[in-house]
Amino acid sequence: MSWQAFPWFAGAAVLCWGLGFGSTWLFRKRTTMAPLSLGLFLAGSLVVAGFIVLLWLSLERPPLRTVGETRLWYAALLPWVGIYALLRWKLRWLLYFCLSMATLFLWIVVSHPEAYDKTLMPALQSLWFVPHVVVYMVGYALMAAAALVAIHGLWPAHSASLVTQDSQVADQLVQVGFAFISIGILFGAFWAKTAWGHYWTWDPKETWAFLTWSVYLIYIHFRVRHPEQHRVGHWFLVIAFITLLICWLGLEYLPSAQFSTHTYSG
Amino acid sequence: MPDPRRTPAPVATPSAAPGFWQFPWGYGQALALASGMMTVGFLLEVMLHAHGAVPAPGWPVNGILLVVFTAGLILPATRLRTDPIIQWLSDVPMAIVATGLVTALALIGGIVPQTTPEQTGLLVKLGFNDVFHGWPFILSMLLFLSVLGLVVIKKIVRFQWKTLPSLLNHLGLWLAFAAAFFGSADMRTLTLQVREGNTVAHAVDQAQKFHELPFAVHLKEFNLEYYPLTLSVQAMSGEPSPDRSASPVLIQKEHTTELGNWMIEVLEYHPHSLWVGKTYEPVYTPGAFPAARIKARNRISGAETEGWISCGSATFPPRALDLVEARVQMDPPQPRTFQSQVTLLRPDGQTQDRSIEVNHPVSIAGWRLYQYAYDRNAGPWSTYSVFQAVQDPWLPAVYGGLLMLLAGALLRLVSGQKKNQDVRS
Repeated sequence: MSWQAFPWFAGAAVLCWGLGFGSTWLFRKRTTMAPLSLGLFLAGSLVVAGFIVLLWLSLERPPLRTVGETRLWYAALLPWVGIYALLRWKLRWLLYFCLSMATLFLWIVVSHPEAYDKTLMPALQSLWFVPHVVVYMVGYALMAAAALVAIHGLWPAHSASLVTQDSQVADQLVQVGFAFISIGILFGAFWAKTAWGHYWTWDPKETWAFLTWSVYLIYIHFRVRHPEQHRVGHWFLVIAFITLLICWLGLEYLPSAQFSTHTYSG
Repeated sequence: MPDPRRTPAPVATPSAAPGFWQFPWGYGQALALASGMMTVGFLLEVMLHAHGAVPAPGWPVNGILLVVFTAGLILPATRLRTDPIIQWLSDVPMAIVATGLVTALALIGGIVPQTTPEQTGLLVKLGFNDVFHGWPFILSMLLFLSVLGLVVIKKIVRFQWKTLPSLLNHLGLWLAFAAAFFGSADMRTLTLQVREGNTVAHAVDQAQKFHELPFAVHLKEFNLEYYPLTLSVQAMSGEPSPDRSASPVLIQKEHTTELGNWMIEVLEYHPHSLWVGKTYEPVYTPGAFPAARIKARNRISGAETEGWISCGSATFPPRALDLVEARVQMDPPQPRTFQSQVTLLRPDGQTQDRSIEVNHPVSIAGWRLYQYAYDRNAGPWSTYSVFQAVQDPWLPAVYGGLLMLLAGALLRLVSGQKKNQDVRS
């Protein structure tokens, strides 16, 4: 079992997910998801998980050492978050979202074969690496969804009841997303202590992670006190998401970031 | 007889609008407080020319300050619960403003480079280049901790099991922040450099001052392992080979690989060599570096080229094999692990053999030793290793707070989606 077989596994997984999604249209009259659809979603997710297991056995070590291997974990873990969200809270959109992100990562892995053996530097060889990044991926996905809902709620043509509904959905997304980015920031701090000796150094990446966390924290409290102020809440979420994007992708453009130790990530 | 059900009409007063300082207070008053604090903070910053260095007290002064600070929160929160100022301080508008203040200052720190600059301009006078150690930030943290502390006490007093996640979140955050803030001066980071075969029992701080350590470090050996070396083909313009299906080619003796239009055969491979005369000779000696002799055959034209490739070292230049439109090079070696085999001498006289590497620090006598650096020019031949010794006595309190935060976040996830109202607890 080697990386050569991976495109087949990836294709099979995406096929299962695609069929599962298509089958939900067949069963669109149902209120709960049909077992066939859920089965297809599960099957696709198991295919990716199965590849990791087989790769692990053939390498005789945990596949956590190369760039390609870590990206594979993102693609493997995201579907399970979505499946959990579906079973626990009946949130279909989150499942579709997670599966879309997983598909994206599978595509990234397949199209970057040079990363399969590209090795991770010693600082990244830690059991904290994958949990820290995956938890953040899920959190970011949820916040992206919340921002989309907020933009939807800001659309001038939309009715008041739609705007209200958007607020409620956005709130739910942010509640779950905030838990994830909180856990992500904590994992980062615990990892930093074992790697660098300090759990927090106000490194630009850390500072912006704090800023992102803090803006969503303010949003949550604003919504507690002003649940009727939908438009302000929606604008807040857009600003919060911009902060998130700066933290995730925009650091290299900031003057402060030339001195960051996080420049290897991504 | 006047109708008792009718209340007399109020007498018209000259100023019908309530004054700014009339209770209940809200955002406006919170912003006024924040502005006032920031004015004081920036004035202190400019006047004291502190350039960020606010004197931070160590143990036991910081411990006493924390106790006094906490008592200063508990007493009003419990005894003056109905006081409008206390209620305002522990209410949401104040919480939002206090959090926003810390956020705004952190934003400065996230944009302005936090280093010592060459010139001192207005930004430096205001402490923007070291925001997190300046007076404005200190004051904003004190405000934040005060507001959060009052909220925590309120939640403890009104405790219900269903609001446990919220309490854990707020209390955990307060504990972590308070411990990190008050205990910051007690965290010490020292650097020690040890040569192979030597024993060192002192270290330097950031000001290059020497400190005696309660233990000694004897470096037996520093090891650096590279990942297996690879070679790659690059177009003459410097771009990598367009054939992306080829993963990096491991350099192994008598190994032939296809790389795009080329068949590359490794004729000789010396992991340790030196350039002697006109060729690379295998020599296992400090300063040696990898070299390989390869034969490249163009699959289309049949043309063959033979020659040496090497990644070189800090003192020897690299060498590539030029083909007509491309070049074969040895990829720069990638460190896989670097670690130090040490013997640690404990205060009680006992010795311990340990291995220190990145992500695997070692604890001794209340300190933690981290693999920090080595002689990068020498690479695997580095004759010394640099460690960082960190002492963080307040860490258990900080971690206690962070674990509470983690528990709160997990509980929230597990207990599922609740209505917004539950957040109000």
